[in-house]
Amino acid sequence: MKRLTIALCALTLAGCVAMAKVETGDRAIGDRLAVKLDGAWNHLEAPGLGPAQTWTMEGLPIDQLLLYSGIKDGELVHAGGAGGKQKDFAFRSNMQAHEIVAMFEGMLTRDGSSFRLVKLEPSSFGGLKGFRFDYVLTRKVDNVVLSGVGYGGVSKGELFAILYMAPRLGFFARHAPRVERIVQSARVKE
Amino acid sequence: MPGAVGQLVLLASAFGYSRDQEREADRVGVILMRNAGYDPAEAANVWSNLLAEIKARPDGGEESGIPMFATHPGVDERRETLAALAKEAPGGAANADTWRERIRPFRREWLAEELKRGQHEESIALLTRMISDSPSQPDYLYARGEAYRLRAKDKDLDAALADFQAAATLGGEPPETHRALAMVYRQRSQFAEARASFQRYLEAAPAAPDSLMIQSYVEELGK
Repeated sequence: MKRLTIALCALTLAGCVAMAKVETGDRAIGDRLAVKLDGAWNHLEAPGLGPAQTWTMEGLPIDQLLLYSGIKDGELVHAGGAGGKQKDFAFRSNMQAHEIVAMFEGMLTRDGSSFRLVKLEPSSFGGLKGFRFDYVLTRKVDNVVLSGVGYGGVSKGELFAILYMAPRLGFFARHAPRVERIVQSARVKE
Repeated sequence: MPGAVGQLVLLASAFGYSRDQEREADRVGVILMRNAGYDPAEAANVWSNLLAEIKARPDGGEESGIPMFATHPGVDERRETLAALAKEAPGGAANADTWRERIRPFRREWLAEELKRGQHEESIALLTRMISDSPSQPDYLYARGEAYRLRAKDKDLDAALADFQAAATLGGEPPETHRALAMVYRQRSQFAEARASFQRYLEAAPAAPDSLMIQSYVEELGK
């Protein structure tokens, strides 16, 4: 997160960061994931982001919604891998739900942040037999405690997932119902 | 744990002390250790253990990311100097049993953090040493088994299975031992054993955060 924040500041100064409004209505995320929005979001676009789309309501680094669509076997779930000193985290198509959650945990704690799994349970997602997990992330850069929720599922060996996290005091509760409606609207094309 | 030691080493190196200053610090450190009643020979052992873990990496520690190893080539020399200094002030105690007792409340959490580092070779080197020191401690066997299982090379699953079974045989093993055993069994298509191990995990840790997910695995395996 610290690196992301610094990178975003640098890129903003360089004019490389774009914030696009995501309008209400049906939206395609990649080729196979579709969601329906009942309110507008902000889509952050910058070099080095991905493979998830990064959306936010309040602006980074306050809250972020990560949307993963069609992550293939062996593909990293974060940017900036390969050759860095930090461990990389890649999706494997034979991963079980809690291994996928462990992968996201690894991704979210690459900067030394602390992750605690609160709950992991089966849940449908996008029409798939998937899972839901709740977590608490204590961000290393500023010690802010974030609440997080994630949904995921695997279809044809590809990962689809939505993660949302925001400071537990105020922001998470404010936007969690909206995120929940996005998740309920999600559909993965077979 | 080596991660914390590595960070301390990194911090120390960041200040760019000269080698003479390092030698002087080691000399004073040995005196202080001895005066406090500790066996100063352990200072050299710390270096030996750390180096063994770093060298266990696939790159042999060449790209360890610890600048001290690049800018202070005399690590072996330093270890030998510490050992020689310790011989000049023999005696003292390592207090290993006291240390083990004091860290007991934190051990499982620290081992979990160690595994999260994803440096499986280092973890296996560390845990092999811990198992050698405390062969009846199931926590270390479980943790090494997990490191093998997560690394998943060649015969790692066999090694993982052996460690998990040894931990379970000792008794007092972490509940996660049975979840990990189940994962190995499932990977080997031993579904009845996988189901039984998942159930044993749920019995041992009914309030685990992933209990509902594991319950769904049990139901799938029962079909």
